[in-house]
Amino acid sequence: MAIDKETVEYVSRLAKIRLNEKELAEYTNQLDAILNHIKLLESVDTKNIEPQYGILQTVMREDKIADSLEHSQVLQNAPDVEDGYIKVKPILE
Amino acid sequence: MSLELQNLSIKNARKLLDDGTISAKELTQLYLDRIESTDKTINSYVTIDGEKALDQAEIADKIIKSGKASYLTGIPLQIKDNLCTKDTLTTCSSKMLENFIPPYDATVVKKLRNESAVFLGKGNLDEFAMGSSTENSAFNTTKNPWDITKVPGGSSGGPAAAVAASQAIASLGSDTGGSIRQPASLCGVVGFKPTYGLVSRYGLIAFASSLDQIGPITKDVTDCSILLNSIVGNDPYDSTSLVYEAPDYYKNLSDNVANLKIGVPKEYFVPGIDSKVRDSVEIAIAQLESLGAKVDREVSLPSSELALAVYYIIAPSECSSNLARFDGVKYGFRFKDGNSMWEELEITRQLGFGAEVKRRIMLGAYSLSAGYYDEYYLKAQKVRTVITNEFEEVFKKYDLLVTPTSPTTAFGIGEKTKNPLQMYLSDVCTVPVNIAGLPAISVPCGFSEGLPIGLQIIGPKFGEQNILNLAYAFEQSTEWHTYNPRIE
Repeated sequence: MAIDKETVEYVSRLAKIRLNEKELAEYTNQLDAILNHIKLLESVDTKNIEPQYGILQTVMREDKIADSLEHSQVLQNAPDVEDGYIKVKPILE
Repeated sequence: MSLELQNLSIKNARKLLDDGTISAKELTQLYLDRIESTDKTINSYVTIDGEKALDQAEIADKIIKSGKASYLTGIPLQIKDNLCTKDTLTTCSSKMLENFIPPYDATVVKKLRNESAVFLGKGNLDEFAMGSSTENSAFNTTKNPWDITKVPGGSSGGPAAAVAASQAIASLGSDTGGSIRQPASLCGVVGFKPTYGLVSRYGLIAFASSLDQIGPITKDVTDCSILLNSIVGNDPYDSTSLVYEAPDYYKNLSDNVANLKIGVPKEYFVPGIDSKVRDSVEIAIAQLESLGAKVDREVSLPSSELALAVYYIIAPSECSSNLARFDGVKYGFRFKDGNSMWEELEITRQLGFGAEVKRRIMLGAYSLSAGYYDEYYLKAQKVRTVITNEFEEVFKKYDLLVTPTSPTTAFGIGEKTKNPLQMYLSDVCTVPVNIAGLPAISVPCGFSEGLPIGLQIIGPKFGEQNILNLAYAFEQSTEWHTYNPRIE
């Protein structure tokens, strides 16, 4: 097995996705199959090769003030709003 | 006004609009009628925006009358539903964004709006563009217009099916591992994925930022060049968009390919490829030779076989990071019956995302997590360099590469949903192109049992014009693009 149930459970906590027992079993099997395919890469010699982080460039621009969205537009899709603030349940117990 | 929409291209429609044969409003109504009569069968649209489309068409008509029309003024288009459209629902075909109304336009949408194009509505996709069949849409399964028991491909299955079924003159898609080219191939239309950075991704709801690119899905190569002209360009809102003076792809379109050197990489004729797909692509290659192109069939890109494994580390890793924003706080679905914010957040993501999205987020979170980062993510980024370098070497000798777009024709609905790895293999010929940031097109090159086959043409960075020219020369010398599906 490339991955076990405990690891999948741990990863689901990292990803902030709750899983039920059925999902947990299913994902363990499927992730295992995918990771086994990915093991193909182990055989590639990459000793002196630099990683390619996308096709990136450094972009600089002047720090100018420009138009941005109205406060109300920013909040228009929020599920719960009060007095111009986004509202959530308590974060600290 | 009666008009055969099935053979209508942007180029032809432009002529009819400009000489007054038809108004933009009449044309838009014809498309809305067509959608009305066919979309119960095809399901290519998530949102149909008839009223707004007619308003836009009315404005377009005024511009056309004043003689100030540009190429897309009054042209009815569909837009893939992961591109933000101001004040029009943008769902990503996800329950998570079922009610999301963007307060701004994606840059590509804004560019089309500035030309007074008409937006008929939003095209269905695999949820968050993750999939190869459009079966991962939270709302509808789009059907392949050539055979409604088959998938249209994905993730831009809605756009490809809509263009094939003449429910829009053209559409915009996005392509992370083949999501424009593979559905274009399976639906018998033209799909183009530009060089990474040529088109701004601002307002494209991100899946894998180092791989995503927006591009046209059209009836033919001429329309592809027209639509590409309208969407390219540097954008300060996308720091990965390139500063590059793009040529006029439409004006420079030429069927003279006599001096082009074409390579055929043998690894792309993978084990398990349909024999009819192989035959059609080989006949297409012979056709390119007869047009004067110089073809070498012995090209090798051995590392391309690693591309899928690299992709399934990099794309999920970037997706796990990009989709962290969907927390039910700022926008989108929220589960509201929890005891704390954290509980609500976890259940929001459990209920708001579909199975494939969750699978990829977890795969990505795993690849990036402590203890596994070097083994998976770093290793994948190094192999990515190997794949990219190999393409660069090959492009020192050849102008373009030709391959099948997908190893099979459209597969049955439900056929591959139980086995994610089998589904992923459908993108084996398209994924390497995204890994290396290259441009590529899919054009129709044959049929097998009534289902379309696609030819992929890959170019070096900024090789758009050569790709379009070879595709155009091929198209003009064959009849594949003239066939249309019959929809009952």
